[in-house]
Amino acid sequence: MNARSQIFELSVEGRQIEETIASIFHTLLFHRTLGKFHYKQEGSYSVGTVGMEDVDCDFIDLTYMRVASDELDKELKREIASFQALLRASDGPRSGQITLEFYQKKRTRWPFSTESIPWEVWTVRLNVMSLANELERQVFREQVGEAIAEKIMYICESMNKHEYTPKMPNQSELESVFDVRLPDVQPYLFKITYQTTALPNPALASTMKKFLKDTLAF
Amino acid sequence: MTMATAKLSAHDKKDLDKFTKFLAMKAIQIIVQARLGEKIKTKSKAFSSGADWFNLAVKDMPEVVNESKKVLHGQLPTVGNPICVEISLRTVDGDAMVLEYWYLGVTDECDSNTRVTYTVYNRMGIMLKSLLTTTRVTPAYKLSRRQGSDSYVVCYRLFFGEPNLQCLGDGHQTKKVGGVGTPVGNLNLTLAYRTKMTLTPQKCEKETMLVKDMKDDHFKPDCSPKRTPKPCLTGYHCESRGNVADEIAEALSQCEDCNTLFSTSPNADVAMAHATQHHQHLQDDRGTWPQNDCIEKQQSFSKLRKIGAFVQGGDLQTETTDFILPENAFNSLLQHDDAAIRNRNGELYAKQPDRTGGVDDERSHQCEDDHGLHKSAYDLQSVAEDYVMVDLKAPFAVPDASNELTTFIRECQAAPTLASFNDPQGTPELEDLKLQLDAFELNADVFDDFVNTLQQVEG
Repeated sequence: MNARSQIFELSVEGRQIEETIASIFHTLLFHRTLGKFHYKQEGSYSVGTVGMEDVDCDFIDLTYMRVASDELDKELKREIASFQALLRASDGPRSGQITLEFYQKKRTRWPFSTESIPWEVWTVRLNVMSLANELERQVFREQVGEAIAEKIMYICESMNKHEYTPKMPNQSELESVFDVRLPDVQPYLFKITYQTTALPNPALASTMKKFLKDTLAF
Repeated sequence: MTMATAKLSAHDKKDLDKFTKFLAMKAIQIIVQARLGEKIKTKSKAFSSGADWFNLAVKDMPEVVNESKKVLHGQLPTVGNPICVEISLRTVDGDAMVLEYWYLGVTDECDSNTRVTYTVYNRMGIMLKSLLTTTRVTPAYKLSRRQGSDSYVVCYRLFFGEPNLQCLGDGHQTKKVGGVGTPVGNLNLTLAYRTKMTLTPQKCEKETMLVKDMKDDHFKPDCSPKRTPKPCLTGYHCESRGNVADEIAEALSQCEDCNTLFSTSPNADVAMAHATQHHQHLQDDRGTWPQNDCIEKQQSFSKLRKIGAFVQGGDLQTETTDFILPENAFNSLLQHDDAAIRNRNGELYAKQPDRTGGVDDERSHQCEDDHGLHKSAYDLQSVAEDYVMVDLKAPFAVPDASNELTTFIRECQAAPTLASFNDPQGTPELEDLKLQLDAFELNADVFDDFVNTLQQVEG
């Protein structure tokens, strides 16, 4: 199965990196997070409630909505902060990309461990730029806000196409579809990866890995 | 479509109608709450309650629930007849501009293989998430965050029917917020929004002219297709009153509990249907929150006022009036005017932003007072006056002369009080002046001598 893949490209100031990625990834996770599952008996389950929170950006003219879960936010921010540190280093690269990948685990034959199959991949490519003065920053603050707003609307449009998402699992398979570590909400399994040089698309890398593995199996 | 309807079991049809009704109700709540000018925060809960429709923690504002029920009135969106939320901006000068139309409609296409209990319900949840997200990124959101009673307020209006997109001016844009395929037609939520924010009231002149040409009694109050836009904040003030409002909101939400039980197996629908029916029976037997009770509970809102822990006993209303200054010069004129309009229209529908009767009127006043927006007793009076004045601008109300009068009174009332009135100690300048005079008086002889010396020199 090929994963759906989408790339957003944006130019931002160094101090806008964190908020740019957080606003896009939180919007994605808001759509891809459900309430906690509680299995009643085999085959039926109840679902908890997803709370929500408005977040005002400091360096971008934008407010976005995120899932009300501090743990989820911390996890996301930790990854974003590492990526931002790399990009903002004085002698560091001026561009890079960060990827949010939703995946499911598949059992494989011994001796291989479980395999992670991505089903949706979202990449944000950033160019870091410097502005000369405060007036330019003020204009740019609005421009970046508008650009992200457009991306957010695109995400909503995409989420409502109701394309493939993993089937609701039985209790025994819950952890192969959802991240069950959080106490209050249950996002689909996701991972964040980043790089500051142009590497191949992760979805493509995963397909290649699978292709090689299949070839070796014969 | 008929075939699809025939395929749908009676139970599924009932469920689908219920889901659609609550989808519309929650969508309205989300849109109005996004235009309050406040940030929203609700908690995630590991265990859902019956009130958390679509597994989302969207609080209900009682005022908006009331308005939605009045407009929906058991009706659901159909092909060519969507439910529409109009968001408009109104300035203190009386200018208005439509900013957005959000409309939930149905198309002829249908998705006959979709399971109602699980798939449709979940997709409705995703649609509401997209709505929550989209409401934050349109130009109207930024305007709503900057609204204020001294500049402009953002209002909402609900109605059935196609929106008049001409009111959004040139260059308006349309976006599909979300869509859900159902066996009886696809539900689509669409947004049309203004991109040019220059205030040009004449753009909607046609509509205004139509209203002006109508007789006051052209529409009966209950079947008027044009409902008065209401400030989004009105409902919020009531909602934020604390426990009482929360109780009411909860009561309203619990009138019909939502689905929280799902199945991982496609064949389990029948079993789930029985489980839901059983749940419904239990709820009916319990009889805790039947519809009528909810309404009664809400109507007795004003009686439920609580007095704070350290407030001395007595009637709150009486205490408040004790502090109010004597009547303003033009107060009697306004009251007279109010009575005249009552007699003319037989009912207060044109003057009341909310046509739910006297209880709401009283509640609105109390809500504003309690919210602590205005500190002095004079302002308490002024808030009540303002409330009446805003109403006088309603389309079916009174001739322009009254508006001029109210504008004049508003200007008089809005004049700032002199700073010296607020300072019982007197201003520092006055104190200095007194000291200086005393000093001059003490040294009067010295000054006289000095003048004499000058005269002698001249001489």
